[in-house]
Amino acid sequence: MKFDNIFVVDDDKIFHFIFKKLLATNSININPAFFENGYLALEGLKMRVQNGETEPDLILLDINMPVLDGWQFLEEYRKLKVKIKKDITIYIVSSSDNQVDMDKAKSYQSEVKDYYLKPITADDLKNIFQLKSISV
Amino acid sequence: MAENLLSSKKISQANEISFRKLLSKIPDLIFQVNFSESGEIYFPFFNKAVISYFELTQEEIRNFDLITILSKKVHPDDYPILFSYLTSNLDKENLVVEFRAILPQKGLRWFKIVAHVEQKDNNYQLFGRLTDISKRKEQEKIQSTNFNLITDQNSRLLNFAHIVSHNLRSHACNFKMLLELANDESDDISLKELLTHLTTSSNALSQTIDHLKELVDIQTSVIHKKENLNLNLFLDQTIDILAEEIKKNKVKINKNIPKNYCLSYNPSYLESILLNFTTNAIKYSHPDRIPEINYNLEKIADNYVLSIADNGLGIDLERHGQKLFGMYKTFHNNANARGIGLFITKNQIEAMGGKVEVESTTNIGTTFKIYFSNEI
Repeated sequence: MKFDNIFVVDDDKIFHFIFKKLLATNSININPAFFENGYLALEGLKMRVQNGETEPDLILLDINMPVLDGWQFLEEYRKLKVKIKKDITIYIVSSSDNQVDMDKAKSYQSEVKDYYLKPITADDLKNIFQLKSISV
Repeated sequence: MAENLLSSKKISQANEISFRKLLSKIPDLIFQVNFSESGEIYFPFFNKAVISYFELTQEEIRNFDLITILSKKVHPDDYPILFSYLTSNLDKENLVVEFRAILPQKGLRWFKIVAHVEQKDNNYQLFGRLTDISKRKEQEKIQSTNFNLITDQNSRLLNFAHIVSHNLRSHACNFKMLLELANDESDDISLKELLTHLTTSSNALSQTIDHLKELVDIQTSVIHKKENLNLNLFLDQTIDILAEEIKKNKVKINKNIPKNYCLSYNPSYLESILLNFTTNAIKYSHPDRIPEINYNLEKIADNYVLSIADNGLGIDLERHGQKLFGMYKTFHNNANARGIGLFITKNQIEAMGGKVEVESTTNIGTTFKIYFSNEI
C-alpha cells in the first residue's frame, strides 16, 4: 500500500461515510482521520508535529469548507511545511468542476499533486493508492 | 459703370437680407465673442435663437452685460470649467465644449459649443454655434443606466450559475456514490445506513433548492413591492421580535436614527435585513463584554447609509473578506451557523438598488454599512 496514514478534510459528513465504505469495499485497510474543515485539519497536523506523532502521508482536501477552506489550508500548510518530516502527498477532492478552481490548484503545484473530481470511484482509489489489482 | 455699381450694391444688399434671415431663423444659437487683450469679454453679435433659448428678457438684453447674465445661467458647477476651458484654449483653431445651463422656464439643459477662433494681435475672436444636446444627454444617461443594469444582471447570472452548479453538483455526487455503494451491498444493516444517508442528502438538496428559489425570487422580480417605511419604527419592531434574545444576552441597543426618516423599500426585505444583522451581532458577541449594538443613519454623498456596529468577535476580513457574503460560508466554529443569512441579505439590499460594506477587526467588533438607493 502506498499510503497508510491519511487525513480526509471535508465538511460533508456523508462524504466521510462514503469514503470509509469505499475503502472497505475495495479492501483498503486504512483508518483515516477525518476533519470537517481546514482549520481543524491544520490543528490536527500541528498537534502531530508538536507531539512527534505519526504525520499523515496523504491528505485528501476539499475546497469549499467553512472556517478555513482548502486554499486557506494550503496557505497555512506552506508555512508549516518546513517543520514536517514526512513528504506529504496532497490531492484535492472536490465537487467543484469550476475551471477557476482547477487553475488555482495548479498554482499550488509544489503542494498539490492532483485534482480529483467527485464522485470518487473505485478507479480513483486504485490510482490514489496505486493498487496493482483489486479484482479477486 | 455706375449702373454696375448700383446693381452689385443691390446684390450685396439682397445677400445681407437673406444672410440676416438665415441667422434669425436658424434654430441653432450663433454668436461671436471677443476676448480683448485687456481681459474684456463681450458679444459683438448673437442671433435671435440665443435670446429665446436662454430666455433673456428685454431688460437683460438692453443692459448688454451678457457675460454676467450668462454666467448666472450656466450651471454653477460647470461655469468655472467652461470659462477656464475657453480662455486657456484660445490658441487652438477650433473649440468643442459641453456644459449645463439652468434656465427659468426650461430648467436644466445641456449645450454644446463648437467654435472657431481667430487671433488679431492679442485679441481673440470666437465664432461659434451652440446646440441644445439635452435629448442626447438624456439618452446617454438612460443608455449608461441600462448598460450598468445589464452588466450587473449578467454578473449576478454568472454567479448564480456558479452557485447552482456547485451546490447541486455536490448533492448529485453524494447520490451517485451512495447508490453505487448500495448496489454492491447485500447486508441489510449496511443498506439501512446507506438509506439514512440518502435521506439526509435528499433533505439537504431540498433545502438548497429552497434557498436557490428564494434567491431567484429576489433577483428576478422586476418590480419589487416598495412601500414608504419609517426606519425607526421598523427597527423598533425588529428589536421587539428579538426582545427575548436581547434580554437573555443583556444586549445594549443604541439607536441614532432621525424619528421621521422614511425610505421607499420592500417591507419584508427591510425586516429580513435588520433581523439578520441584529441576530448576527448577538450570535457573534464577545464572551468577555456586554454586547452593544449601535444603529446610526448618516448621509454619504447622495445616499443614506444605515450602519450597524457591534463590539463582538469581529471577522478576519483579510482571510474571509472575499467569501463573507457568499452562499453557505461560515467563519466561526459555531454549530448554529448556516452561512445563508448574509448571502440572502446582500442580494436583498442589491435588489433594492443599494449596496453593503463591512468593516471589522478581530476581537473589537464589526460594522455593516447598508446603503439605501437615492432613487424612489
